[in-house]
Amino acid sequence: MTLAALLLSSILLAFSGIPGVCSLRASQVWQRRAETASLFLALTASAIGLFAALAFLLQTSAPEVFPTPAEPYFLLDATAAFFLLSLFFVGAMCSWYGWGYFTARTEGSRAHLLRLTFGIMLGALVMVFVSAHTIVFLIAWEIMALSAFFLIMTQRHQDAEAEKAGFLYLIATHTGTLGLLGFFALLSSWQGNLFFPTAALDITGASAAALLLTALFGFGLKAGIMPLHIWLPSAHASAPSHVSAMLSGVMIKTGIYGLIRASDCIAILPLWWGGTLLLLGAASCFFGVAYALAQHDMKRLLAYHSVENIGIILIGLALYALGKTYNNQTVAILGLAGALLHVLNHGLFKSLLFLSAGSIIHMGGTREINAYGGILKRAPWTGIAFLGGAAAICALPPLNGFVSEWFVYLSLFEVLGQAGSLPLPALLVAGVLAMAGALALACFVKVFGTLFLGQPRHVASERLHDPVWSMRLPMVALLLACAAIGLLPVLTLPLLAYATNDTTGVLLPLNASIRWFSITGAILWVVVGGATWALVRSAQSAPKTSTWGCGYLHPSTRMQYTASSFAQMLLHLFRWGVGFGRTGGSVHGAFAQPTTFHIPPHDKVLDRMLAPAVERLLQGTSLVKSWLTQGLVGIYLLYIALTLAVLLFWTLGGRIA
Amino acid sequence: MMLAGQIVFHLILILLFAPLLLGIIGKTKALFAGRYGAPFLQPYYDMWKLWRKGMVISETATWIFSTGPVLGFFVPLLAILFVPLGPLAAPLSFTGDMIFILYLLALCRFFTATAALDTGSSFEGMGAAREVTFAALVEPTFLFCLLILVALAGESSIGILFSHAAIIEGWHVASASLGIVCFSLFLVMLTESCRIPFDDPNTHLELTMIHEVMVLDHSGRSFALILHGAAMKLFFFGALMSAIAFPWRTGMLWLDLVLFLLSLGILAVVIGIVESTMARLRLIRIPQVLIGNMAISIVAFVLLVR
Repeated sequence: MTLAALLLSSILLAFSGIPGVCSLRASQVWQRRAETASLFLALTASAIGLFAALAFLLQTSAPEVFPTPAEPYFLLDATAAFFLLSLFFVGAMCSWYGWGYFTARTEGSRAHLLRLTFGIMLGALVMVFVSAHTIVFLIAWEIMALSAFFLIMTQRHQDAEAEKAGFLYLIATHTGTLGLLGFFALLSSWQGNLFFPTAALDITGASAAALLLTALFGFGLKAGIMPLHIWLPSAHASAPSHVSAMLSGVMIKTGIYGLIRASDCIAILPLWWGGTLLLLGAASCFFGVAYALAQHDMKRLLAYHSVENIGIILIGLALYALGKTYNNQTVAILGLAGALLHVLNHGLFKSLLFLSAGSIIHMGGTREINAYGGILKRAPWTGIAFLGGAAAICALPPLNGFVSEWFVYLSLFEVLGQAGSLPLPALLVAGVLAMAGALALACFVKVFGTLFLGQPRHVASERLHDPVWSMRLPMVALLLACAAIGLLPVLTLPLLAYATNDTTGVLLPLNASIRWFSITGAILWVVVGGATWALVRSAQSAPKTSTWGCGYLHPSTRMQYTASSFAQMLLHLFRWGVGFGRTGGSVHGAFAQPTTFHIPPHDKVLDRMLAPAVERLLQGTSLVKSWLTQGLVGIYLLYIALTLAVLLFWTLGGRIA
Repeated sequence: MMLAGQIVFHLILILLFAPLLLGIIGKTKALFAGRYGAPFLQPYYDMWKLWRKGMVISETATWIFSTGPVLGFFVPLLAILFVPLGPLAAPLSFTGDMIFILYLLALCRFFTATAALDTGSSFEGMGAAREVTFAALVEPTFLFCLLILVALAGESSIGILFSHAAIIEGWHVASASLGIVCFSLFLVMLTESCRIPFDDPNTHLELTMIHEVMVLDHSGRSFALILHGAAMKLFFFGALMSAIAFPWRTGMLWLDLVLFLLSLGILAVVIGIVESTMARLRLIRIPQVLIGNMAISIVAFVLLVR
């Protein structure tokens, strides 16, 4: 019943863009009506799916299969249902936002094509989470990946980098699919059929290593784990904002879903698997936020923060794997609960951030952080949405980001008490988590301060205004969801207990601690909110002057701190890991001409390691080729004749001998 | 109702005695300088004066400007309810509340730094940038010190970690680690309360500005809240340090309470001595010292689990 509802919603979502495409030649009024029809279809489908998944989790129903238990092409269990929660809610909000943001009136027929492809991507995403057969999974995976490619390339006429971003994404996702093919081939050769294993398999040694490593490569490329994240920043920056919200909020989580399934395939997880995930998670966490500090393109910055949060989720997964290896249920359940809750929370606050960034870009036309300023006074709704998202991503109480990180920390505390060699790595990972949290705080103080506070810099004050209500309400809904989970995390405990298969009762006793979050959260909202309101009231009656400038009477907007200056001290500390290019900036002669200075941050993995390596490889192969052929046609013909002769003797030799 | 009484008593203690610590530090510095110095109760007079003065607000500022002082005042008040003050047990306690306290302090820092950027002044921007940089290097150290206590006690609630029984047990079992934790926590306290050698609380000059310049544009009631909040943050870290460094109890409640306040006074005197005998470090040295502190606390943990 639930599974049927989910399959229905998947088909509805996939076809939700059809009305728009049918109206391509019609008048403006009919095109708008078609867009509204598409939105209605998408919202209905998302509502059906959300209620189905929520009902499944709340009633702790048994896993459902379709069509028959002997041939389970589709399977719905608690883990998938949890991922589907964030998919449907975030998908609904992004579709709603897109209705006002990317309209046919401003963008033309591309809006309809975008809506069609967006619907197909949403439908494919649902299929990915409920499919239990290798071929069905891979088909859904490819449809999702390709539709994401077309969505990223939507704005290639305005944005020169969109094409490069799209191709890099395509290369990365297909390389990942190669890894997935290897994984599924190994799995089905072990199992004998093409269905997902229903129970954990008893694989050890090299076979387990091959299985896990191909899964890590394939799913890791989709999830954006450092150093496989190279496609993420440019792809999420170039896509339209509500598409970036969907990509960052939900699509990269399919990689995490795959890693959970892969870990569950193997009965006895080797120790190095948990250790590798822990190391990669800590590296993604730290370097993701360090690179984010260096960015001054707001969507690239948010994309790097996605890498950081994937690192946090991966740390939770690593603790789950380590717990299973050492048969410590507390560590495993707490780690998995933290990872799953962070999947939901990250989907909520990252999409909130991307949608409000989209509103800013809608106003100003550029993604450059240093071009804006003073938006909070002129567009308060966008400001509050971004502030909420920023506070949530920095894991500040009383919002939701804190609760999932708290679970991961609790799991790390359990590891600290163990004997053996685990406590020191656990301590270091906890330190990396704390440092990444503080660095994320620095980054978002920088972004929020530069974008929303102070005086407007390059984008004039008249252009800054709140977007239409159809774009504001999705942001408000996401913010309310973040605040609700932060204020009432008790609501998530039963869902998590079912999703993590918590048979030993690790999560429910935490109820006693979790209700303190509600109490302190209520105190914070009420007391601090009331006191702030009182202070703002008394500040309104205070005399106003211009900002103190050490005696200088005419402060200009250029005298404000910029985002790059804010991050400079931290980036100087991390100059061994975060690199900058440097162009221009030299002045010649006594009467120098105006010149420009540009320090673009580059991605060490992509720009310093991968791109030069690929270039060397290409040079090497073309050298070998030119040595082999010397450019003479006769030598080509000689090679063809030789190959034919060899093949002839090989086939006939079998007959003769 | 016992709980309500405990909470009220905790809050009264911190609200009344926190500014006295600032007064003691000032008197110590004056003693070293050969001056009589301001009275012990000078911070109280300052706050009373500021509370009655009016504010002047920048035209560029928004409502974010008011959130900084308010959170700086209320966050230490909420945090102290989880900390035992001498013989008084922590009124509120739950598993994993040390992480809650850590991120509560981060909440305070987020809004203080954002409020600093609200006026569009480059002074405050510089102070905010430096503050978040040093905070990023101090958070792991503070967490490591707390995690050493977690590994010792097996619990993760600050009320239990810093309770007398747990600390005495810790000194018996792992005195080397706890000694290093004392030192690391002292440096963390100096950084978080913006004392020398990481920040100069006296001047508002550009060279020494980190915390002092973040609050440059606040005046009147906001500034009174900020002063009191800074004093309460110092009291919070002092209470943590006193629990570890002065673990002696006589058994009588009032005597132990007086001893606790005396230990805080001794800590204030030590801070005053540090402030009088050292200058603020060069800005490029501060991250090095903080990273060294981080390494020292990792060594303390290795000593523990070895």
